[in-house]
Amino acid sequence: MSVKWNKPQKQRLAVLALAALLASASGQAAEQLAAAQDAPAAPACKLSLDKDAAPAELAQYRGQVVYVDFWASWCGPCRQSFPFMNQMQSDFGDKGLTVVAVNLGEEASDAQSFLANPAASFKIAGGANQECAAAFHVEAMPSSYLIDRAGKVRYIHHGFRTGDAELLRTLTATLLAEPATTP
Amino acid sequence: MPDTRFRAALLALIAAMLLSGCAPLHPWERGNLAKPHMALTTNSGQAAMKTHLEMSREAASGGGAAAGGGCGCN
Amino acid sequence: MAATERDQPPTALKAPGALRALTAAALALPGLMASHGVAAEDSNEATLNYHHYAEGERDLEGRTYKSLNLRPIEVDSLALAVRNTLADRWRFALNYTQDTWSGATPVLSVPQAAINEQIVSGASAPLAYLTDSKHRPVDVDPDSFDGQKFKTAEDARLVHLMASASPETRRQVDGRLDYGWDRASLGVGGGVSEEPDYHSGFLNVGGTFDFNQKRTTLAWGSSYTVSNINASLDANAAADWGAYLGYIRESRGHNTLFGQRHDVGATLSVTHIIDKNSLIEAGMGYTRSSGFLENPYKATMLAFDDPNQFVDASGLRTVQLRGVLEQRPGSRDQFNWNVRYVDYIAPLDAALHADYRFYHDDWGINAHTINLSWHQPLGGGWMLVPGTRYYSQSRADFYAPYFLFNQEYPAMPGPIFPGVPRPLDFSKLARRDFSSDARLSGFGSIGGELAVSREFSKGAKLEIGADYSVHAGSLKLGGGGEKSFADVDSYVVYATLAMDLSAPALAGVLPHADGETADAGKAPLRLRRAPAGVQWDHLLAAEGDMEVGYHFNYDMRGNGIQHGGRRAGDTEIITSACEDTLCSLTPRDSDTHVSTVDFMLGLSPRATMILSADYVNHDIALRDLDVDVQDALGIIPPPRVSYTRSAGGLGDVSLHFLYGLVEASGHEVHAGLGFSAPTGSVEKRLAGSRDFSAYDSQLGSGTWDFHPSLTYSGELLRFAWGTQLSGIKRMEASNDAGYRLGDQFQATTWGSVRLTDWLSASIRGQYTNQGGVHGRFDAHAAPQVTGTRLVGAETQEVFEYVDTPSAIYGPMDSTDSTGGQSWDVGFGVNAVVPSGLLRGNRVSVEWLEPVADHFNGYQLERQGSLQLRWDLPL
Repeated sequence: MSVKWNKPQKQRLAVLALAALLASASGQAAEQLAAAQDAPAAPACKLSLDKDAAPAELAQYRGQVVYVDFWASWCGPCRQSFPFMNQMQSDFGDKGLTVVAVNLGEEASDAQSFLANPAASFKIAGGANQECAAAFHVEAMPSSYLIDRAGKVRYIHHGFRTGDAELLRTLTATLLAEPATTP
Repeated sequence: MPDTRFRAALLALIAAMLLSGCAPLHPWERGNLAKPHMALTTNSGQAAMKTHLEMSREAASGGGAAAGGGCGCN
Repeated sequence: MAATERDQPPTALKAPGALRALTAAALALPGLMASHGVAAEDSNEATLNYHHYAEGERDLEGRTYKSLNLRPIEVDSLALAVRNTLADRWRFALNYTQDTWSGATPVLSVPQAAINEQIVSGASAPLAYLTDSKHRPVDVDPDSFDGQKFKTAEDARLVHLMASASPETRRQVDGRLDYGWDRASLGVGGGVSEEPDYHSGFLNVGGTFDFNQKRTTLAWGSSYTVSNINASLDANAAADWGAYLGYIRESRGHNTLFGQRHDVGATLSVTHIIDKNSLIEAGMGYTRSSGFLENPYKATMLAFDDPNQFVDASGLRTVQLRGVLEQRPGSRDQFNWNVRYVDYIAPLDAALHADYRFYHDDWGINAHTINLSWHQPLGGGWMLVPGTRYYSQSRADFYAPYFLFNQEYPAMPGPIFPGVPRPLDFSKLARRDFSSDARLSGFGSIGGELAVSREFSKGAKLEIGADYSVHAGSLKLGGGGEKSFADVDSYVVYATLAMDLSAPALAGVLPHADGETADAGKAPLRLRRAPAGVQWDHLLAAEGDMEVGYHFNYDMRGNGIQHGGRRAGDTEIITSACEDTLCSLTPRDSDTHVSTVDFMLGLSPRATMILSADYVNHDIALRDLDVDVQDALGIIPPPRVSYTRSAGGLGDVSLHFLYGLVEASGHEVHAGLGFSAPTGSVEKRLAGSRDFSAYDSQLGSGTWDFHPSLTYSGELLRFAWGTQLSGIKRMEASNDAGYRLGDQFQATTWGSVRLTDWLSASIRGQYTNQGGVHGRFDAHAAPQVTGTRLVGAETQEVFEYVDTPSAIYGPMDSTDSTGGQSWDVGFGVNAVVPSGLLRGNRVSVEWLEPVADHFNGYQLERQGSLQLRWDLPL
């Protein structure tokens, strides 16, 4: 049990649940990250990024901040999060962020029309990724995981509302600002 | 009393339904359920109009929260 | 969470507990969207729904609706709904609904033997019928007297007495606000429903709780409705009102029944996802209604067979009849249990919906409803939905087609006037409640429906459907339903247009933190458009571009009758405004609402096609002209029931082509050619009679019309301006009702300035020349033609059919008082939502203030019009 939520943080969570807007107060947002030494390592599952290419391991992005998003074409909030992830990739890509969106939808044709508009500028993992989803304990659609440069899951986000964008950007920027350490 | 029988049947159905909730269903397995034609009500505007008309042509009504007024007296 | 652990693959992370802890925290954080698969709950959409219901003719025992000048019930409805996210967790829904009812409905039913007896005796109404020694109603052949007996034949038939109401419009506005937590929601809502005789207000509160990773949802709701009834009893003038004397007062010259009712209800339901392909909802509800639960327009026949009466040599007994207003219990406890099940049929990508409801109330009614439908996607966005519905109810304890009492006619003590039935002493009746409203009888109905919908790629969906059903006593579950005299069939056609309001916002890039948008340049383009009241003002930029628009026009008139630029007094109107007769009525005020939906499609950068349809609603309120003057002139007021004339329904449908002639930088000229088809009714009448419901309250022109236009628009920096000339030319000599609306010419010019990058303001001038009506309504052209209509007679007798000539009652019926010239100035604003989920929606509003009028004849002064336009590129 490595992630410890202390009491003040719990209280803050309660407040957040009542007033979502407060979550975007960036000074407090960074504190929602799990402490680096306590955070669990990202599951070492294989992602098939492309039908033809060999499966990728998340470990190959070690040293970068990785934003892993589990989505499906039938999920409305997932659709809403795509422009946001495009923006994240274009704003933070050169600072060391990799966005990987993992498709859990069962129908490939649906995903293709979904990806056509808007065109996704980040990495899409298609194919059978259900094992990875189980390893990550995906409990809602979409679910996104912020993994720091050391390969540790520092933040989990379930669902997506447009108002969440600010918090996720702040957390990502915070992780990007952390120095890269060798694991 | 047919109505007691129906009540019993309904209760049995609800119970069966709740008990069946043990089989795992992952969040990513809900693609079929999210299809628009799997919604309980697929065209809510049309359903509301239909309900209002039925209310004014038949004795039975209800089954939802207050849908609105009007006597439909004709 | 045992299941999760069991499923854990070997490659899972080494410290699953840690990730789960983090997961648990995430679940408590804001941002978790409902994802249990019950679709559409998070959608941001606007829907427009048109619905038309029509009944077939009922069996009137040989008399046709046509011969009685009746029309079956028709209902035209329009509903506009918007559901949207306000902020991340707040959602609102707003609904506007209006329905217009017209046609004839049964007031009560009587034995056919009583009608035959009435014909034989020459009485003005069915007062009695004869029964034989076996208590069977019989017809007597008056020519068959053999010195001792009449020949009789059993006659068990029942027949409706029908009454028409003038078209009436009900309007309902309601709204709801919901707040969503991660696993719960709470909402409050309320609304009002208004029609001339029935006013309701309602409040509701409800919420949901999600369990089991949102696999199970518990929903509850509670509601309160208060309704005030003020029903004119003119149509039931002949019935005995004795039971309601305390409720009846005179209002505006009419005996009016005032009542109030309260409805309190609660519901509870559970929705559960059974597996990845099916879900079920089970619910129950309770409603308690109390107060005035009667239908004030329904009467019932009480029949009195005095056991001590004299029986003549033919063995015939006389059963006396008396019509009374129906009486129901003062409260009603209603219970519902329902189950809805949806199953996904994977090989066909289809969904099976099966619903069942059981209803029970303490009036003795048990009802079963079964709905089955099959939703079959056909590819390319098409969906076909066949369905069927079966409904069956048992009768209320106090329902009968008429009520037979084996007792003497229970008259109140008092003087007896020949030919006038004596008031009933209700305390001497063996039962307190009686209704002959066929909706409380035992019957069943079975129907089939078919809907076709097409989803367009960019968030628009159009659905068109129809259903047909048969309502019959013999269809009641288990038999024993009402006899066939109450059978009727009906059909519904409807169309729904649903727009996903967030579609354009999702098509582009979301705004940066600093508020900049990637296509910020596009909003000003649409800010340059003409004010809300100008139609056909712009071309689409490219082939294949689509846009959907909604235009609402609310036109108000009132403040007295104008003639020749001044206000006309009652005496002048009485003597001058009704052609060669004298007026007795005049309009007090009038409102017109027109909702127009248009689809625009770019055919090329120079050509745009527009398909548009109107939904029209008119309300004219009338008043009596000065009664003293009328008396002095010897005017006998016409029989009438209502001081309002309303009509609502689908108007004309039109197709337009716009073609760009000049496109220089900053300037554009385009021409428009349009044609409208006479889909709107021009034969809206009052109370099913030959009385025309005014030229100004018809739904369409009734003719094929040609709509040319020429538009110039220009822009420089923050400024935009334009001029448009447009006209309407009627292409037929007259419509089916015998007249033709005048041609129209309109010229308008406007200027606008962009205030911010999402808002502009406009000013506009407009000149309109509207020609008068040519020809006249066919029944007015031959005022000697008599019609038959049902009125409450003066004689306190039951129902009477009287012949009444059609007439011109006031300026609204005269073609001399149509058309004219008018000048307006308009002030408007125009906004394009710059960011957020609704980005790309344009809303413009304009107020048109009349500056001057020059009307033909006698017309209400114009008081202004409100123009509202919303559009969205697809």
